Amino acid sequence: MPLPEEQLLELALLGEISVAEEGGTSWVLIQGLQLPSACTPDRTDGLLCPTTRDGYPSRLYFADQIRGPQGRNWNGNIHVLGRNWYAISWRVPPEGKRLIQILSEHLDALR
Amino acid sequence: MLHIRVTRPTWNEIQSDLSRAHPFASERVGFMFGRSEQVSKGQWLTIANEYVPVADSSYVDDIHAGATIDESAIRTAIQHALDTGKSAFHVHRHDHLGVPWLSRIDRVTTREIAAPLLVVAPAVPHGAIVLSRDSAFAVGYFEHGGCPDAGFVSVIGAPSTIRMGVDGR
Amino acid sequence: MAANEDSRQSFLGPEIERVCRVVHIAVIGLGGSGSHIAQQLAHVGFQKFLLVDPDTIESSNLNRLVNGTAADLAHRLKKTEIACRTILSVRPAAQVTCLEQKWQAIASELHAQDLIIGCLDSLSARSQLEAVTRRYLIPYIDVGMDVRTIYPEPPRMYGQVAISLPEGPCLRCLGVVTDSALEEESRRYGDAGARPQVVWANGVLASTAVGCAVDLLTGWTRRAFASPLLSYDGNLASIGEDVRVRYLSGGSCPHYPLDQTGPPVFRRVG
Repeated sequence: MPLPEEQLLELALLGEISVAEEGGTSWVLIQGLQLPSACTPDRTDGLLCPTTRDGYPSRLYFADQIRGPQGRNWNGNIHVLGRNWYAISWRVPPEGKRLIQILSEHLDALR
Repeated sequence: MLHIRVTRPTWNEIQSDLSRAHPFASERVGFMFGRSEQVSKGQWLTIANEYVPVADSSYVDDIHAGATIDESAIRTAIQHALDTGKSAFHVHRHDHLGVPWLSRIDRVTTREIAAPLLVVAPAVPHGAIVLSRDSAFAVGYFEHGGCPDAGFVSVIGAPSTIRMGVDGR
Repeated sequence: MAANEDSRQSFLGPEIERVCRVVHIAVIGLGGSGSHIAQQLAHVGFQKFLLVDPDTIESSNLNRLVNGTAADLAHRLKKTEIACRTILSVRPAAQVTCLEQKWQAIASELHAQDLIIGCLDSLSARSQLEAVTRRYLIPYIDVGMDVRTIYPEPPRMYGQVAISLPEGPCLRCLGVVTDSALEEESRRYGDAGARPQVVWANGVLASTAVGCAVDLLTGWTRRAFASPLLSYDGNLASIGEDVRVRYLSGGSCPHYPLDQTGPPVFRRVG
């Protein structure tokens, strides 16, 4: 199912946004996503999957494994859309939330 | 070297289209489009995912060739390559068994069609695929110019026919 | 291929010799199933291999890793080295490339392969691998095995060989990959993916996979459509078309449409 265009435009306020499909899933690429403070690197590409994926209700993948203020379980290594991505074990149910809110709640894992 | 992959359903669609009679042309032609990637130095892979037959009205009555198409058909192919960034391959068939080869007219036609395609989508190869009743051969032109590269074609399905145009198949 | 070999396999049709010579096959995972598969492909006559597995042989592998020996264990050989040695002992002229990494790290090397056989433990990894094969129109044969115990019943051993072809049913269409199965895997195994395995079950599945591969590449059975899913019941020692095949909806796979093939294309927003 295509993602709501106005919600994608909202995300575009954060950086360069593009979308692609693979395996029946819609993915949102956020190039150069600014990460919360005290993260290394401070910016990386993010790939948001706002639907169920590998046992999680939604998932945010990063192009790098981030060093943040708290230790996290990086258990979501996948290869999708031609690249390798990494994700933290972090649950964000997407129901009733806009894409920008889902993204923000995933970034809470790095705060 | 160029490797073109196409699915069996698309291949069957192409064969069916090329088998259709035309009011005056003795052969039919079409264009196959696909996304290309350089897999290693000198090796390109094209994933063909679209076939567009040339419309009946775009054939020119020409006794010197099996099929001659007008500029509108070529412009349509060029526009599509520009819009999508895909590789475009002119497709026709020689009615025999075994590996086909480009005739002199085929070589001239391919060069003339590839030239504007390389202008609008220079990052990927363009060229021609010639089918026979049971095989195929491909040729691709690249932005760097020079002689075209020979290529082979794989049809993926049940069964799959891998690397036609190689080793006499 | 020598003339006397031809005579034994001539029923496979005139294409077998050319197919064995030109087709590039990748075997992803050289453990219980993959080691069998590599050996059998060599015996059939295939010449061009890409072997991908990051692991070194361990003592727990000796119950099923074909041609893995106690000496290999002592020398800490890589699984790819063992498979390579096996292939070259049968086909000294074969071209074998070994990549001792997870396939995700070398995924671009897979694009040029003509056939990929996946022998991975993780269902998630198999699903991701299939996505690559679908994108690049590469026939994919997926081999999986598991053992479940629900007390007080005896353990149930089962497996499957799935054939995933462009525009045909994918692992999701076939019910091999489901969201609940992925969730359960995530809960049960985490990242290790250490599924129980035994050599004879691996052998049945591996032989089936190789037979499917040869049929796919030669069409020797002249069946218009190969069954996309064969299920193995290890308790009954039987393998056959999975009942789910009868309930496939038909038509092209909705998860991997043809217009999403080739290198990924992103649509810019805003």
